[in-house]
Amino acid sequence: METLDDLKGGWKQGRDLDAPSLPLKSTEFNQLINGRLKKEQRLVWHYAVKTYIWSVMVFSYLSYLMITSWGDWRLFAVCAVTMAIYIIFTTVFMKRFKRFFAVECAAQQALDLRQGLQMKLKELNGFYQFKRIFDWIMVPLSCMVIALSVNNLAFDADFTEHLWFNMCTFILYSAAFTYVTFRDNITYFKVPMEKLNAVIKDMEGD
Amino acid sequence: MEHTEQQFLSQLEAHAGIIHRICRSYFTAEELRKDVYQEIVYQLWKSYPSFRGLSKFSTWMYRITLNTAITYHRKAKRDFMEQAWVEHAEMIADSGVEEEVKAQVDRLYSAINTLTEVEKAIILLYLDEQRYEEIAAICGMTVKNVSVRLVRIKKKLEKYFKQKQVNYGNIR
Repeated sequence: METLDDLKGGWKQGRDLDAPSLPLKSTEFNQLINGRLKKEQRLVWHYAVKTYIWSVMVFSYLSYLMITSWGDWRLFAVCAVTMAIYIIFTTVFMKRFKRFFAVECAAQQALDLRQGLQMKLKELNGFYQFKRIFDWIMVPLSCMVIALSVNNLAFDADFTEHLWFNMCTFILYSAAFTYVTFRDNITYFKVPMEKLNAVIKDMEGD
Repeated sequence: MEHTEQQFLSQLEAHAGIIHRICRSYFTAEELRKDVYQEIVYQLWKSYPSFRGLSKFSTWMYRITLNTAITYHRKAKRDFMEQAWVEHAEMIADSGVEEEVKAQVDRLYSAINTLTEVEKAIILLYLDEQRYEEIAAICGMTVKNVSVRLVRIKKKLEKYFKQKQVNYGNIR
């Protein structure tokens, strides 16, 4: 039977036999770095820019609603509250997102692997907790805005006149938003956090 | 700037095997490995300005490479290594010494692939002849913990080899 010590000999001789050649020329190296930078920018696009564009769309639409429905103080109040909450949350979201990237870099410079992983887990968890609050408030608010807009476009009447239709619109959009948010949270937060937690626990195990 | 880039590239070249070995141990699918490989080089380059030479370049490199490999978002399935074992078992019968060495290494990689993330890090550092103190410093564990873990890992790997030889026969 092959033992680890048998294989260690072979490991020394042949561990890099099929190693790919590194991009050691300056041009290839620069291409690699630029490629990764673009990838990182795409990730930033995924969170920050989409959030920003969505916010601009919401603000524009809410402003439009406030002006066109001048006199309907209930709609005005909903729009004003949504705007205020959006401004606060978007600002905090952007700040936390920026900090998240800074911690990512700091974790690479940590004293050891465990410390680096702990830093990443702590920040990921903090960001996730904030995002959960953000989701709980913004999903119903966004869906309410959509339901109001659909009502305005379809009937141009009071919200309560077609209450069942409007409730269905709200529930439908809420379900869709909740599903997407849930999937997003699992992929980008829960799974990585569980994995990090398992690795850290494994390191602390003995 | 140019000087720093050249310095980085020459140091990277001297320790290129570290990235390759960690990628092979943590990721089985070729495409994914290439992607992680590039990500590691990128992370090393990003962190390079903070490298002040307080530790060896290889120690610093192990830490960042392992950190990136462990936290990299995994997409591939873990079905590749089992296949590699069978293919090599069939191929090695009529091949030369170099192929046999390659096959030995492949078998070791496939065995390492069955370990946990932390165990992989420890065994790789051990196989690369890092001292227990260095392994402990890189991973953030105590020396005693490392030595206990290594005994367990060796047992795990030997059990794996035994199991494989029962399934596929002695292929040496």
